[in-house]
This record gives sequence, C-alpha cells and structure tokens, in this order.
Amino acid sequence: MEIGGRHGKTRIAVVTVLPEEFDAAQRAFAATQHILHTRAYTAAAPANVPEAEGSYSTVLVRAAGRGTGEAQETASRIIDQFRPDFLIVLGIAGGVQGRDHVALGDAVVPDYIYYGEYMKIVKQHVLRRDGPFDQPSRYLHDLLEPIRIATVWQQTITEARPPAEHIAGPDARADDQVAANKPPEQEIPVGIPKVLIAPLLTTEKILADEENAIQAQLLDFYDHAVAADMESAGFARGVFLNRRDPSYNPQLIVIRGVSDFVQSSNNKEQRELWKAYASDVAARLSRVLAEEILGDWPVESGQGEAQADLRS
Amino acid sequence: MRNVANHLEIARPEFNLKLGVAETYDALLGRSYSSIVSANELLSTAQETGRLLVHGYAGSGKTQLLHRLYRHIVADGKFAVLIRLRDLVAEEKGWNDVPDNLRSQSQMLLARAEPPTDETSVRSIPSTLFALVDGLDEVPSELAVSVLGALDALAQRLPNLVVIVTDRFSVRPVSPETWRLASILPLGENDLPPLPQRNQDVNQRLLTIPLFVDLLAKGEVSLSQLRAPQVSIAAILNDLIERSIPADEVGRVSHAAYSTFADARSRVFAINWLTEAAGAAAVDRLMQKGLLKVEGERASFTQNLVHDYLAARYFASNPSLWNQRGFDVVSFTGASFDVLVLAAEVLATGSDEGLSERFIHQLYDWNFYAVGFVLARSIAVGSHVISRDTTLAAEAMMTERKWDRIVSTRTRVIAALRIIGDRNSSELLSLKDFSQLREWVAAREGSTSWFAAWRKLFLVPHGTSVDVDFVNAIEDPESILGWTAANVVKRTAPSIEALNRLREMLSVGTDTVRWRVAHALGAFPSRENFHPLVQMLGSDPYPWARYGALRSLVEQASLTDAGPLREEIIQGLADNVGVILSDQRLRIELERCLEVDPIPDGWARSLDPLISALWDRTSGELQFLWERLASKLSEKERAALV
Repeated sequence: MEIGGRHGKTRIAVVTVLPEEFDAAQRAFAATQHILHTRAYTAAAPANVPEAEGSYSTVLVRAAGRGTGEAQETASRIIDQFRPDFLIVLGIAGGVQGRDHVALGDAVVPDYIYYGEYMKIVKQHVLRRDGPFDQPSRYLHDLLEPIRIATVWQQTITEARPPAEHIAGPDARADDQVAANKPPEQEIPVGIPKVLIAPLLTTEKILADEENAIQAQLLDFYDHAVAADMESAGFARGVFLNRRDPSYNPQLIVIRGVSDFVQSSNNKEQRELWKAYASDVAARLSRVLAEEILGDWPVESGQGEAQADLRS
Repeated sequence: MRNVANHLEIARPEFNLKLGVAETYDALLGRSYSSIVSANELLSTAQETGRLLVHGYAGSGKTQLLHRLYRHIVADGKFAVLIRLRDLVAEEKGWNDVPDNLRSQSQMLLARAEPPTDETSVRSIPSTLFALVDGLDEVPSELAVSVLGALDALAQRLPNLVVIVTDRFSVRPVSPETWRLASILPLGENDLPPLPQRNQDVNQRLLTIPLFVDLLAKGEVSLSQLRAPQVSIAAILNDLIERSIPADEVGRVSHAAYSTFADARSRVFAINWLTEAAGAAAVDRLMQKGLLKVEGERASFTQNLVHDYLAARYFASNPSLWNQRGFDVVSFTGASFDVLVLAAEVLATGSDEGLSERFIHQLYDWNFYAVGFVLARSIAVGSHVISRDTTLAAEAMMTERKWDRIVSTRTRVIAALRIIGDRNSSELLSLKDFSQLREWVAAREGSTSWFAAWRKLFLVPHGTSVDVDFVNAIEDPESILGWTAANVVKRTAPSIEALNRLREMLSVGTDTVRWRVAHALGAFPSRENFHPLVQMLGSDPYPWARYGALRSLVEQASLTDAGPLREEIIQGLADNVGVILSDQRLRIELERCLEVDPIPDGWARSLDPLISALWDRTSGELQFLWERLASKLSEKERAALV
C-alpha cells in the first residue's frame, strides 16, 4: 500500500505561482474540482471511473505568494497533504537573451537550478555560497526527451501566440545575431516554441533592468543560465527538506515558458504581452509529460479520478 | 495506551467544554470563529491540517481537555500519546541537551510520550495517531518556539500523526496554512452542574472557569465565595491553601514554589527538595489535601494555578524581585503571565494601594504586553487590579504603537488590545491615526497627579521642538512617565543639545534609562546616533538595552534613503551577528523587526550584507530561516512597489 499524505495520495502535484500560470494549468489539466481543506484542485472524476476517496493522479495548487519562501512552504504543504511522487513546477520565466537561442515563448526545462542569493559581492569580488536543495530529476528529464524530439506537443497549445511584430525590435535583432553565429541544436520553425534543457537561475529580486549593475554581475557569474525566475529554488528546497524518509523519493521538474528577456528595456511590457502564451506553453508541455509519467506509474486500479481523463 | 488512559485524572462532573475554531489569530482574538465545536469534535478539526493549537487561560481546563480527548480516542479504538512539556524541562537530560536539529528534537518528543514511541512505530500504525501535547506555556518562551518547530516537522514527516497542543493566549509563529487555532470558551449557563438560582447582580465570572466550578462541585469553595463582588482568583486560592496548611507553613511553601521557577525553571521538582524547604509536615498536608502530586522522587502541584498562586504570593511580598530577572523567572521568560496576574491580585487586596500601583508600573518597565495581559484577565475575572488611570495610560501607549514602523510591534499591540477586550480597547482599535488618539486621550480625565503629568506629556504633538529638559524626562523613575517621554521624544524635533544629552544618557543612565534612550534614538538616523547604538548592541551588560539598540538600528536604517548611511548602519548590525545569534531574544527580535512599513526603496537589497552574515554564521534550519526571511522581505518590497 502506498503511503499517502494528510488528504490523500497523488501521483503528480502540479504547482504554480501566478494566477495566469494557475489558469493555464487548470485548463490543461481540467483541474476544476476543489479538494476540501486544501488549496488544491483536481480533475472531476469521469462518470465511468469508480472514485476512490483521497486518491488522485494529479492535483494542482497555486502558492500563496511569490518568492522562494512561499515556494518552499507550498512544496512542504503539498507533500504534507498528498505526498506526491512527482512535482511539476510550471510557469513563466525571464529568458537571458543571447544564450542558447532562447526566444520568447520557448519552454525552458532546467537541468540545473542556481540560487543567486547565495552569491556574495565583496569589494567587486563575487564569492559563491551554496546551500542544499533538490535538483531536477534525471528520470523526468529522460521521460521528457522523446517529447522534446517529437515536437508534436506544441499542437496542444491553445493560447494565441502574440503577433510576430512584438518580438521585433533591438532585442530580437540582437538575438538573431547570436543565433546566426551558433546554429540551434534542433531545427524548429519560427513561431513554434522549442524546449531548451539548460540551467535556470532563481533570485529573490526581479531581474528586469538592463542597466542594473547587480543584475549584470549575477548574469555574468551564472553564465550558463538561460532563464531566471523567483521560485524554482524554493520549491526545490521544499522537496529537499522533506527527504527525511528513505521510502519517499519525490521527483521534481521545472517547466518554464519564456515570457520576456531580463535584459530588455521593455521587459515589463513584454511580460504582460507574453505571459498568457508562455504559461500555456509550460502547462501544455507539463500535461504531455504528466501523461508519460502516468504511463510509467499508473495509479492503482480503481483509484484515480483523473487518470482516465489524462490518458484519453 | 489503555493503561495511560486509566491513570489520567478526569474532573467530575465533566463540563460541556466548547471551543471556538479559527484559521488566523486575527479571527481568534476577534472572536470571529469559523465554527464552535465540542471537545470531541475538535479531533476532526485537528485532522484538517494535522496541527492544532488550543489556547486557554489558566484554569480553563486545558489539561483536562487533553485527558478527556485521550480517553475518548482510546475508547474509540484509536491511537494517542500524551506529551507533557513541563517534564521535558524538568528532566536532567532535558530539551536543552538535545542536538539542535528537528530530527533529534522530534525523536525526543516521541520518546518522552506516554506511552513512549518512535517514528517507526508511528508509521506502522494503520490509522491516525493523535499526539496530545500539554503545556506549551509551561516551558520558557525560547524553548516553546523550538518545540513548536519540532512538532510541525514531526507532523510533516508522519502524515498519520495529528498534533494537538495546549497553550495560554499568545500569538505563536505558526503558518495559518498548516495550523488550526482554537480557544476554550468560558462555560455557559448550560455547561454548569446544577446550582442554586443565580443573582444577576453579583460577580459570576469565576463560574465560567472550569477549575472553580470543579472546586465548587467538590465542596472546596462555596458559591458565596465565588459570587463575592470583589472576588479574585488569588483570594479563592488563598482560602484553599490556608485551609490546607497552617499560616506559618504557607510562607515557606510559597518561597519554595517561587524557587522551583527560579532554580529549576520548571513546575516539576524533587520532593526531597520541597521537604527540606517547607518541612515534612507541610508536604504531608499538601498531599493529603490533594494539592501535591508525588511520582517517585519528583513532585508537582496538582493544579498549575495553585503553584502559580504560591509563587505569586512570595513574589508579591518581595518588591526587590520586581526587576528583569524576577519577571523573567515567574513568567518563564515571557511564556506565561499567570503568576503576574495573581501577584497583582494579591497586591490589590493588600492595604498598600501604592505598592499595587508600583508593581504594575514596574511590570510596564519590563514588558508592556504583560500589563496588557494582567489587565485583560482582571477585566475578565472582575478583580480590577489595575487602576483606571494606569489602564488608560497603558492602553493609549499601546495604541500609539499601532502605527509603529516595525510591523511585528503593530501586530502584537493589536493582539493585546483585542485580548483586553474592554470598551476602551474597542474604541482604541477603531482609531485611524495618531490625531484621533490624541483627541481620545485629551477627552479623558484622571484622578491622580501622575496621570495629569502623563496626559500633558502624551499630548505633545509631532514635530514639536524639544530641549534638554524635555529629554531628561526619560530618566523619570516613574516607569510609565519615563517610557512615555521616550515615545514622545521619537515624534519631536530635539535640539542639538537635546540629542547630545540623549547620547550622554546612553553611557551614564541606569539599565532601564539606557533602554529607553536606545528606543528614542531609533527615530534619529545619523552617524552620531547609530555609532553608540552599535556599541551598545555589542557590549551593553543589560540585555534589554541591547534589545532596544537592535530595534533602533533597524529603525534608523529604514528611515534613511538607500545610500552610504543605511549601508553603514546595516554593516554595524552585520558586524554584531555574533552577539545577536548568541542571545535567542535578539535573534528572534531581529527576525521580526526587519519587516517595516512603509518599506523603503531598496530595503531587501540593503539588507543583503546582514542576511549574508547571518547565513554565514549559522547552519541547518537557521540558514533556511534567513533564506525565507530574505525572500519574504523581497516579496513585501515588490508588493509595495506594485
């Protein structure tokens, strides 16, 4: 018998932060049924599937606020309540323009997460500090790889992509120049989001100022990071802190749609314009991955309200 | 478990206890309960999040509630353990000897449970295990924080564990997402055993407290005693004690009761020690009367309130103890104010009215929240131990802190005013700004000369130019006047000479005066003013002066624009993280006071050197705490910008 949490057992927990991210995830996972005494939602049980109380294939939850502190709390709470085997953190991130051909609307799935707050700047020298937290699951990246290569998951995106002219401008040109020097690994037609497997940087401060010296130092220091967000390291720390039982081995993956470039002068406008699309990109890719997970790890027979729905 | 259940003391007749349930302290203190449940229904409430804190005043039946729940759970074929926190402090290898990590602490909690258990056993239980944890207010406040953390972690690791903890009324740092809150409600008409017709004109408040109804049912007190117009809890307990042991023995037992707090910091003590201190005859009589319980070589009073009263009696009769150490001793370093309430009652019934007032004012010098608690209880019980003038002044001064720059101070005074719950506090809570408070105070008349002086001082408006004579009022030996002067100086414009004088007082004043001056200087950020505060934080011998310096440094930093001065002040704090981390009180206060409102531009980034220094000097759970704090401050700043 699988050990559940306080309010049941779920195979997958999908966690989001912003309302737009949650909305996109709710549509992608059809998670409209509220679970009593929690902040979580799940898909309504199909009529032909017998319900087993407290057993779910997927639950969806939104953090109560932004930042790594809230993210850590959210991860701890969802583990306390549902003891998920897999956690998918989905949402948006700022891309670091000029790295790995990252484009607006792409999906970044980090294979490594940095936490920028550990960095210490002393008299212009950057000193690195490290603290423990989980890193993205190798197993989940293995599951994702065929999805990335097949390039059919993009067909499930329902949100309209912002018009092409909104990518144009000095930022896009700069990106094109970099792209011209280093061809992308995978040929994806323009306007179709690609999946980038690359490091991501988490900081507590929004990176959104092309002239900010600290931002520049951070981006120089973490020179492999292709995107930045404010929560992933917090979720990862929450998972790490709950690894206190040898029989519980939660697997974490982060899937971020790129809504803006952190160095852009019009960063905020970009984010407003691309937020819904980038959220949908992350949610749809997450959903396809969730189906793969459930293919490997089905919920026990007769249990699971949404498994039939997800596998259909 | 049945064995444990059979040995639990259950008061007869059982009352129909009701509890108000809330998700936040705002709702709990405002009595806006999401539901009102019976004792047994509380188990379902606790299962919602796996963690429940039950608050109740002394004598409200917190321990009895847990005993009844335990029996109910076991009778229902379910699983429960009982953890008595006071035993953890009393043991030779107690909480302080456990390594400072959640794993070791939670292991100890389970090992000391009745019956003892461990994580492996809990995991193997096929259903819920309820851990009933008694007496968070019976351990020193710094321990209470770590015990709560360990219980939270234990519940996190063991999803089939449900933790129910009893505590006095106090706002604990728990997440509303994971902890439910409940409050034991006063007994109502229908909850009491049959009693003669009650007269609505007399004091019946003690009949809402289970302990006294229980004593009434046992014939230990009479209905006329409980109904007396000027009744107090101390008077009832005094009568109970004096009927049990001769007057000459009461003094020795009281001294011994105080000494257990002072020496052992516990309610549990060696029986031999009590026998030596109070005499074998007194011990025998206390046992015969059922007031003292002996288990092997250890003993405790059967009712915490009896122990509290005895300690309070000794404390009240020794004004030389009314200082920081004495108040820390009888309150378990601020964890429980019940002894202070009883001491105030003892003094209020004495012949020296001035002594009673002096006690309250000395208490104000130590902790003004304690005065709020004493006030709240005296109003609830009807003993009215604090004079009207002191009540008005204390409530008005608390209300001014509603607009304090430090958010946690606002939260705490609002909670205190809600707990007091009288007409004044309701009016004061509704005031929108300081000008309304001034009008409110201006409309109040007092009956004493000090009140007239206080009111005149309090009404000094913002921005008034003040000189050396004015700031000298901070030295006033009358604590309420001295503290009012410190508060008022913060909202004035002191002359250069007056600021020089303040800095001079930092080095020549008494302990309390140094603390008050440190408090006042928080409003005046400058190099001249922050350097002595940094020095004070690092080396002042008086802990509360260091505490005041810490808060004022944060306040000064928050009052400056992002730039060199703010950086220097923050660096001054960062240079003293060793001192801050070596004193739990300073560490907890730093964690609280960094959240300020309005949040200044670049605040979170400015604090980086401090957070970084704290992170470098700590490890494990404490590092995560600083990370969470940094994240929270960044988020607050971002929200403020939006």
